[in-house]
Amino acid sequence: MSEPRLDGAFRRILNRQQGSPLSPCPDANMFAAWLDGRLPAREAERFEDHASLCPQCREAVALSLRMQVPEPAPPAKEESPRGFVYRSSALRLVFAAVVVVIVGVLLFQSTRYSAVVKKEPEAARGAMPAGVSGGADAALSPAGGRRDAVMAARSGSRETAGASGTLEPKRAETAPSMAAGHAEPGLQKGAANAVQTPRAAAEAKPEQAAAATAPPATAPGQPVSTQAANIAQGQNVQNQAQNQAGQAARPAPVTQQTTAGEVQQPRQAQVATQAAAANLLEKSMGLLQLPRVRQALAEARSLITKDPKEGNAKKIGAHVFYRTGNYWVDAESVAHSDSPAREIARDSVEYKEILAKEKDLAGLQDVPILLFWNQTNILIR
Amino acid sequence: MLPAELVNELGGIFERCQSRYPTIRLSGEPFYSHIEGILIAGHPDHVAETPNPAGRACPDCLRLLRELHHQDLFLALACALGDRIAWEFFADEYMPLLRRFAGQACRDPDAAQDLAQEMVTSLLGEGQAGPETNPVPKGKLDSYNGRGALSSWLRAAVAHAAIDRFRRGRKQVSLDEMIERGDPPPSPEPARETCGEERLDAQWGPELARCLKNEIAKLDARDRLLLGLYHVHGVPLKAIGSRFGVHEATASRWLDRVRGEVRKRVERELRKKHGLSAHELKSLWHWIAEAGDAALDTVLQPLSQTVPAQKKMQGGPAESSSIGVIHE
Repeated sequence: MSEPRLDGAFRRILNRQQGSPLSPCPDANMFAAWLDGRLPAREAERFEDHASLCPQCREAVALSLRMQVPEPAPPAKEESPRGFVYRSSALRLVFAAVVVVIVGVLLFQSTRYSAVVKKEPEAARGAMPAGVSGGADAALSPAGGRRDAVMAARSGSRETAGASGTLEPKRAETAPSMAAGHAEPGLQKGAANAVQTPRAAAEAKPEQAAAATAPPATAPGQPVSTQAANIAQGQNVQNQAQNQAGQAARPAPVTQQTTAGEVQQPRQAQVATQAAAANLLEKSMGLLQLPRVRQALAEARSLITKDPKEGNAKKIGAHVFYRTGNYWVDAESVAHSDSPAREIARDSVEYKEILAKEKDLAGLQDVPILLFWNQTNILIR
Repeated sequence: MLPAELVNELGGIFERCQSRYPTIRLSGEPFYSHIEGILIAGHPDHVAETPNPAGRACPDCLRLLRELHHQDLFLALACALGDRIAWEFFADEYMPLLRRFAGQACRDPDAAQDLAQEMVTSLLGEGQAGPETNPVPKGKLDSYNGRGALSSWLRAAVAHAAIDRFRRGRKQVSLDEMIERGDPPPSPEPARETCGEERLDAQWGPELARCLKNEIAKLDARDRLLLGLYHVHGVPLKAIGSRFGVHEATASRWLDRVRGEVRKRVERELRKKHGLSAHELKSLWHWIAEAGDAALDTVLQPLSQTVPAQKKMQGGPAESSSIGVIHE
């Protein structure tokens, strides 16, 4: 025989059970304190004793318990879609994975082309004037030397860095002449473009010069809005990087000639690949920050000193704020300038929450504040 | 006069409240006197006695002062004193909550809107503000004492207002209207069920119900309240668990334990007094479990007549008539 359910009996008996509570009905304050669990044990017991015997109070308790207090508000909604993209941990992971893949591809290509170069006949290498390789790398483009140095530092390739960033004076002298030699008509166009220096480009034919000085697809001068659009669609950036890497890393046509210029082709392709990827990565990371945040950081960098002086600096809690021309900037923001950034308004819930914890922030109302908060740079406008 | 220790503590509290609501113009004096009133109400003996030379406050008062929701109290007091900015803060932070509570208390959206409006009116104060008659209309917020969060206070206030409103509506329904609507009119004599073959159960049923009632009355206050909330008002286990900081499964186990205890005690009582066997007891339990409401009413009717009438209580929702007056 199964166990009987006594719900109905309990309900009827309890519903009829009207005892005689000795205390008067508690007021809304007592209810509130009981609901919050803030009544001392003795008072709570008295309240529960009363509520269990008084049908009216018990009903009020039941109704209060049925009312659900909403969960804490989600993060501010006024952030831009781009902010959302970088706040989303899943997308962050995807982005990190893509970066890792790109770096892996670059390393793989680097190893592969190093092997190709090593296989070139020693005779051809021996016939080359000393330093021709480094000079050619350094003369990739008007800004080639600087970019190669950045790229080399990023990739950590000693060979590349030695060839481009740390040229010996003697080798560097030979580079322009070689570059000029390759710019002559009749030579393979790609090789000529790759080794042109500004001077060589000026002396070369107009179309060749144009080709040599044409900015790459992801030039530093590209409008920020375009870059932002790209970065907001993370997939586009990945595709762009992969396409560029693929195009640049595609092996050059194998020729039977063993001239110095042709020997340079694989290395040039490798360098171009790495430079393009480095540029893209640099810009992608930079775009994590909003333009205003970048501006605020740029203004603050020159101001920050170890000993903040009264007037241009204020200490609020654990934060030291520097007054730049247009912003109050948290020193931590400068230290963590690579962190994701977003903007919030002063009337937002999030700002009020921050204000509840750092009350003195209310004193910095004259200009926008750049605050480093929860591993994020927040521009409060 | 408050001891120096309490005054110092109050100063810090007031500063924190001001920094939380920097634009609200509320001076320290009314705030201090309001809190002093709350402390005296909480611990009349301790606060009123002459402070000792060292200016030390009694630990209970200090604890009570620290446990208050100071910022909520600051806002409520400023609202009660008619500060416009404070009302803007209140409207911004608590009006959505108020509407939400009203919506949860009344299923009908129109009724919920009316209830919310009624609450706002009572919070603002009945009278119109005027320099000659009443400079500041005393609203309900004036009675908030900060022992619970303002949101919880609003929850309780909305619940009370909803119950009062519901009762007012119920009281206005006449017997004729009920008959027209098809509701069964309350019968003076509950329908008696004739259970020929269950004569034994019918004989022992009242005794079982009496024991059950007595054992429920002997329970701890919290256990009794749990049973009432769950069985009478149908409060979900999740909400009960949430109040007591436990999972709903734990709340369910609590209820099982309480019911099991009641049942054991009732069986022990019946065995001891009337020598009922296990089989008879089981049969009785099944009878009471399967008996309809009418049969239970028959059994319980004589018991309810012996229960002393509820004392007239002051204030609160008890001033209104019982919510079950029509059906019972």
